[in-house]
Amino acid sequence: MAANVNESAGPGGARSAGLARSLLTSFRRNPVAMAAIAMVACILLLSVAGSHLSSWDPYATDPASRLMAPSWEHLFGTDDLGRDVLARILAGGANSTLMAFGILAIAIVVGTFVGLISGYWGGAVDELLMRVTDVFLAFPAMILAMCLAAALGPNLVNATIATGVVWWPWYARLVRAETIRIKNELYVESAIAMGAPLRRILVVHILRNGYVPVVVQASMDVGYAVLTLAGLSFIGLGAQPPLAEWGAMVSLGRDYLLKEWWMVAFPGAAIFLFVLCFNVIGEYLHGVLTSEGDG
Amino acid sequence: MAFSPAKATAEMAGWEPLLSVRDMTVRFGTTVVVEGISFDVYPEEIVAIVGESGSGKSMTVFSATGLMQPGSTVSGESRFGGEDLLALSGKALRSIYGSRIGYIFQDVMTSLNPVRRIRSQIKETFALHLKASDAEIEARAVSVLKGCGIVDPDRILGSYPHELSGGLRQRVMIGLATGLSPALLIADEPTTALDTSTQAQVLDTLAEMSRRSRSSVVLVTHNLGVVAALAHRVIVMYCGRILETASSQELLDSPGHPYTAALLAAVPLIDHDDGGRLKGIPGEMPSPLDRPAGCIYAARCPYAQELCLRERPELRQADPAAQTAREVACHFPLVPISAGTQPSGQRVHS
Amino acid sequence: MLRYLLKRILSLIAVLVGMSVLTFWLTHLIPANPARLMAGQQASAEQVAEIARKFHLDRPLVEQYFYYSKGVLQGDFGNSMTTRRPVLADLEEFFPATAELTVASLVIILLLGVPSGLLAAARRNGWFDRLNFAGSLVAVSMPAFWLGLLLQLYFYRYLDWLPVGGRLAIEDIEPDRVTGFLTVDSLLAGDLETFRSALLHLVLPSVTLAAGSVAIVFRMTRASAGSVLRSTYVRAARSRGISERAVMIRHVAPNAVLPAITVIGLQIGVIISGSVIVESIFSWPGIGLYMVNAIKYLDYQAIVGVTIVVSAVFVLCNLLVDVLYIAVNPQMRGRMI
Repeated sequence: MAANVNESAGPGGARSAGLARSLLTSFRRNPVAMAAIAMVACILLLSVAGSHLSSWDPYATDPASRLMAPSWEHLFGTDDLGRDVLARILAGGANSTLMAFGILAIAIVVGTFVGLISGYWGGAVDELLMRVTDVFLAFPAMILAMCLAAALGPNLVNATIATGVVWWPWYARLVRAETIRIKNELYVESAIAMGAPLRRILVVHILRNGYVPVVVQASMDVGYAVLTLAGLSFIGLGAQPPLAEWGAMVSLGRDYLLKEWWMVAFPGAAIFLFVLCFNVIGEYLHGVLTSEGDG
Repeated sequence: MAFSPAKATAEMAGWEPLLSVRDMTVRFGTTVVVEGISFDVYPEEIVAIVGESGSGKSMTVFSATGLMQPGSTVSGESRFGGEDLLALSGKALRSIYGSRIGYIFQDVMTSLNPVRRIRSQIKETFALHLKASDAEIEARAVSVLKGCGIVDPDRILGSYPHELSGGLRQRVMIGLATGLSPALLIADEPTTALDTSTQAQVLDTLAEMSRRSRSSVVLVTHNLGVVAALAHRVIVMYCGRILETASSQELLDSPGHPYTAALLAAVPLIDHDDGGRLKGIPGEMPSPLDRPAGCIYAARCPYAQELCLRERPELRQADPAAQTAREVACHFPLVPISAGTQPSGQRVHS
Repeated sequence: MLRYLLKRILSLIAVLVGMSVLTFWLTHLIPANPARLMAGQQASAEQVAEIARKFHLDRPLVEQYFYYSKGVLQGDFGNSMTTRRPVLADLEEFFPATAELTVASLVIILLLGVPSGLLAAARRNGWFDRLNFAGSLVAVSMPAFWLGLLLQLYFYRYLDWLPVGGRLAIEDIEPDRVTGFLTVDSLLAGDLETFRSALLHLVLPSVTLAAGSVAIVFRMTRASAGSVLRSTYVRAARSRGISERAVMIRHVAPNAVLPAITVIGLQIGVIISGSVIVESIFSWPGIGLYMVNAIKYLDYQAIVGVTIVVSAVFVLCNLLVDVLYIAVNPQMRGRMI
């Protein structure tokens, strides 16, 4: 019985394939988006290979060469402990990238889970879950993230968890709306009527046809996630010394801002470029997916 | 409103046309949606442009009066009161719009600004074109609405659009369009969005207001019932071209073009319509991206012959002996056409 | 309208209760012994136990929450361990600074975001539109702390145009407190010199705080003005000879601003979040700075108090914005009455 329903992933399957193609072509036609993708690829590559690219050790302190201005030897200068700023930015890239995806992974997994349950079962379960979601959304994001980070103890992993927890309600709402939409479509209704197992309905039918808006939202959120995390690090609730992390590096450079500006300027620029690239990509993904149909 | 043969034959009486469109083509990029059409509108005449949705009829009237769709390019000429509307600057057009040309739109629910009261929208327009005191303009607004059959103009003036029914909104729009006695009134499917019972009343209002202000009316519609009730002359459009033009009496009595005949057969004269394509005519309208070389209607025409697929028929005047202003673009018309290049050959009935 | 308000207020109360429970529970995960912190380092074990008993700290968490919420309803948020004062007194002292900063940012957001969005929509794909669109991408991608520090570097260190740090210079005389807004209070006192100083001190922090939200409001206004420009009533207005300028001001703007209002409600949360960072960069003595210090010293009474009060203000602001939206939108107004 279930074999009949198994292979029919519904019309959305074809829709997503066509979507991927139209995305690719429209990206190819858009030089700015292409540049952003290339840039993100570079950043990812740099973060992976980061520690091997610089001859300087990001954690080796050297009192003799502290607070040195940018030069050929130290392209971005050195910090108050004589560490090479460029080496630390490269090392920090890995942290930022990893944590950004950590935040989204937590937010998407929790949000999808809650959204699926809420949208599929509806009724009292839905009501309860959505009220809980409302409570989370009623906090200004940073305030809740600070509370959480403080409660869990200040370090980068906890800050990541805290930010992810602040983020999930948006995904819960999104997935819930998609679930309700897809649940009422004929092919899902018939799958339910034919007694397809619940897990199959949720995963094969609903998730496989409803993931596109989640991906778009995630692509637009990467930048914000990095910004929030860097903000937490900046006020001392994220990465702790001596860990190389962009937000923490700017925070450290604050005290030296008026003379040793490079300690603030370069790590901050790294965050800015990273976030900008993801925002450009998210922007075009969103533009392509929402302008579908009106030519 | 009664049919007036005098106006239908205005051309022969030697009247100057009010609006004279010559060889107008409208394109979106490289796609042609209106193809080299010409027509005249005479003073105080009511001309209906009839066609299925997608025939380019709305595009024709808006483009001809300079109110272009964003993204479109228009070539040709459109003379109105001695000026070419297609060549005028935006500023010159704006002094004409509202005072000498009035528009009524199809979409009654959204043609008034939702966050402003009717009063401010009417007075804004009147004040723009009239040199008059606020009190005079207010009085004019009240009298215009009264003329449009609104019994309590004060209440309506103080209302927001969403507080009014569709029929009332369209009366307000008619008041807005005719309030300054324009020489030309463009009405794009003015009753399509209304329910059947209000359609007739709104049409009466439209006819009455245009008669009072001595305006010519170009009425875009796909409803032949509206044509029969109101129009002096009819222009039949199909896929961006004019296929036939005749007085409405003539056209309804004896269609000259096979397409007109199909239109008449497909739609009962008095009927409420749903704005869709005419289901009675088999086949699809050709895509604007793939326009046939010959007669644009050949693919759906039961009388089509080899010549029709090869050569495009021009709009030609009907026999002068018949004393009509009828013009038909067909190689094998259903009525006699003036002498000249009428091709020989037998009509094939399928 | 009344019915709607009642419904909104009821759900607001439910959300506030949920928020306070969550905050209370979270902050009690903080690995610190509040009784020990309150008693001080030299206190004996008996003294610590005495304090724990006095503040019900030896009771189960549910019971503690009960005592706490009872206190909150009577205006008692407990005492701050760092300032050694009631949390409520601290809030009263620091809140106006944050409020002034927030209001200044909102003014900047509205004055820049809305008109630029309208202009960009009017000349879509023109140079102004492209420039602003690119600018908005840059603005939302800037970390506020970096932007703030760069502005300090440029306008204070390099140009020496604008002051940095605090709400007034040391030599300024603080006006008598009436509203808590130094710009308003100094004007009320007739002290133009202090007013000028307060205003100049406000510039960089509020610009830093507003930057991202200006971009969001710009985009929202641009998008909604774009769809209004395609509407039939704008076409109809043009067809009556109304000039493009008047169409923009009288027909497009009032309709395009409505959706922007709802976005501004959400932006208040973003501004409050951002104020934490901006206040710590500019040493602005407001709630954000207070919160950062409270977290640094694990002052959990202060953390709970700030979180609850700030979130309540945010929720209330959102309600106000929604009510405002209904009040200025004739279509909604008709439906709600």
